[in-house]
Parts: sequence; structure tokens; C-alpha cells
Amino acid sequence: MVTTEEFQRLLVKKVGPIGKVFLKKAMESLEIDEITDDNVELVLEILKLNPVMKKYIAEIEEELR
Amino acid sequence: MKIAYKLTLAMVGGLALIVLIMAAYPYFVTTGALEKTRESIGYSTVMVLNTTGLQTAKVVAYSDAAFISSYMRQNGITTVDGLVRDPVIGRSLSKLHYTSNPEVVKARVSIVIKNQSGIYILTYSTGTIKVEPLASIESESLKGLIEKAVSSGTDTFVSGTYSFRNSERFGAFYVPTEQPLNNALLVVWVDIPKGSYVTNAFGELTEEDIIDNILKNLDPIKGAIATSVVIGGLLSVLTILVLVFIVNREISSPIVKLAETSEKIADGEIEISVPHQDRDDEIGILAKAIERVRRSLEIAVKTLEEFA
Repeated sequence: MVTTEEFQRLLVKKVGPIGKVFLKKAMESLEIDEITDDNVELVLEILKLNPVMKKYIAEIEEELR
Repeated sequence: MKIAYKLTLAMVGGLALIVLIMAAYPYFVTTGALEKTRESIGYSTVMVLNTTGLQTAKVVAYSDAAFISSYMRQNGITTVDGLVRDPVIGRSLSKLHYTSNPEVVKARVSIVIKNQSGIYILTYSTGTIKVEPLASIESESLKGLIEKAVSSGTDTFVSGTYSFRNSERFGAFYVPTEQPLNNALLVVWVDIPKGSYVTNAFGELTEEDIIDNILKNLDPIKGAIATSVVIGGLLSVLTILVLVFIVNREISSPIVKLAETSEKIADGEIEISVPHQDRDDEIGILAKAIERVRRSLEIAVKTLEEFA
């Protein structure tokens, strides 16, 4: 089960501190307070909209599987 | 911790090797030198075995441990009543006191001769047994006894009273040989007065003689110590070189590489590849941290470029 803390830790591990900034913006745009199994795919899709971050998000998706 | 483990292992291994060689080498050489010392004065070493109620004593000169064991086995000797100290090696024990009841104890003496050509064996009135090279004979009366022995044939026991260095002795056994005797076992019966002691057979050798003999054989020991110090020194240098190599390969070189990479990232080369990320130690942790910062910078810079 995915949690916000776990997802944020994974994101920072892959892309560094800027991951937090992008995650906050993604959650604001989706109007969600927590990341769960139900919305994690949507969050990843939002993050992949940034073309530079897209290649690193693939690594997160790999780990989440 | 992995790097510390590798370094500790290298240091401990190197030091253990140095200690082992510095300790083992002199040990073997010194032992050899001591054996050589014992060989050179071996004829004067006596070991006494198995005095029994049957009033016999077996005395073995030249106390080679392997020979003694084999001799005891062959002769069914299971107990050792007394041993005479070997003054060079310092093996073993004390004087032997004969406690059997007759006035005179008849002792069977077995003596192994090593590398001596022409020796004589004396039994002193005190019970001391002495084996010496023929060349050292000084006593005229003893020479007379020996001449008698020679004229009567080889391996003949000749007894009589003679004067030797101002002291009256009895018994002489001469073994005239052209070839050096090696491991020859000679057996002779001698009279030992009741209550006498068999002492170490240095007998008439003075302390000076013994010290000279030992000092003469100290050179190989000195050489061994000097060699071990040189070898130890060389090994220390070698160990230090190995440690420097390991430190350089495992720590210094990767850190220099990561420092260069960080500098390039700071200079704007944000797509540069960060090395050593696959390592499973502190260098790997450092490399992965630099890679995360690089990715953050890459994302931030490129995103800003897009919106600028």
C-alpha cells in the first residue's frame, strides 16, 4: 500500500530534493491531500508531464511494481 | 564501514605476516644453530635412563630426543629415573642418585657415538661418565691404558686405575676407529659406587671451554636476528606500499573522481555521468547522493529553460 511519505521518499531518492516541489504541485493540481493506491497512477502521470522528470519516473514505476 | 573493514584486514594481515616471519625465521635458524652447538660438544652430553632395583643403569650419551625415544622403545624402557641436564639446550633434569643396596652398583652403560673418530670413555671414581675425543688426551697413565686397549684389539674394555688431572680414576674404554663412528651404540659395564651421582658429563671441561664453545656458535644466531630484522623491515615497507595502493585505489582515486564530477556539475555539465554509483560502500553512498543532486539540478534547470 502506497502512502504519501513512502512515495515522497522514493521520489526524492530518484530525483533529489526537487521531487518534493513537483510532488506538492502535482497534488495541488489533483486536489488531493494523501497519495493512495487509487490515485498514485494519476500522480505519476502528472509528474511525467515534465519531460525531464519523465525518464526518472519510469524508475519509480518500476519500484512500485 | 566496508572501507574501514578492508583497510583493517590489510593492516592486520600485513602485520601478522611481519610478526610471523620475524618470529619464525630466527626461531628456526636459532634452533639449527643450537643443534649445531650441541653437535659440536655432543659427546659430552649424557642422559641417564632406567635405573632399576636390579642395580643397572643405562646411560645414553648424546641425548638426541628421537634416538632416546627409539632406544627406550627397543629396550622396553618405560620409566626414566633421572636425566642429566644438557647445559647447552637446557633440556632436562637433575642428577641421578643410585639408591640400590650393594656397595658398588653395576651399571650397564650404553653410549651412542656420533661423528667421532677415536674416542675414549672414562668412568670416574665419583661415577661421572665422560666421553672425549682422543685428541684431547693428556694423561700419560691414560695413554698407557689406551695403548693396552689398542694392542688387545678393537672394542675391548680395558679397566685399570690411572691418574687424570691430579685425580685418581678407574676404568677406560677406547674405541679406535679409522672412520668416524656415527650412531654406533657401544655398551660397557662400569662400576659405580653406591650413593654416587651421575652428573653431566662436562666433567673436566672448564666453564671457559663451555662458554667459548657456545659463543663460537652464536654467529648464526646473530646472523638470523640481523636477517630477520632486514626481512621484517622489507616486509614493513612492502606492507605500507600495499596499504598505500589499496587506499589509493579504494578511497583516494574514487574521491578525486567524484570531486571532479561535482565540480563539472557545478560548472553546468548537468548531464554528466556520476561514477561509482554501483559500489556498496561509503563511496557508493556519496556517488548516489551526488547523482540525486545532479538529477534535481537537471530537472530544475531544464524546466526553467522551458519557461524562461
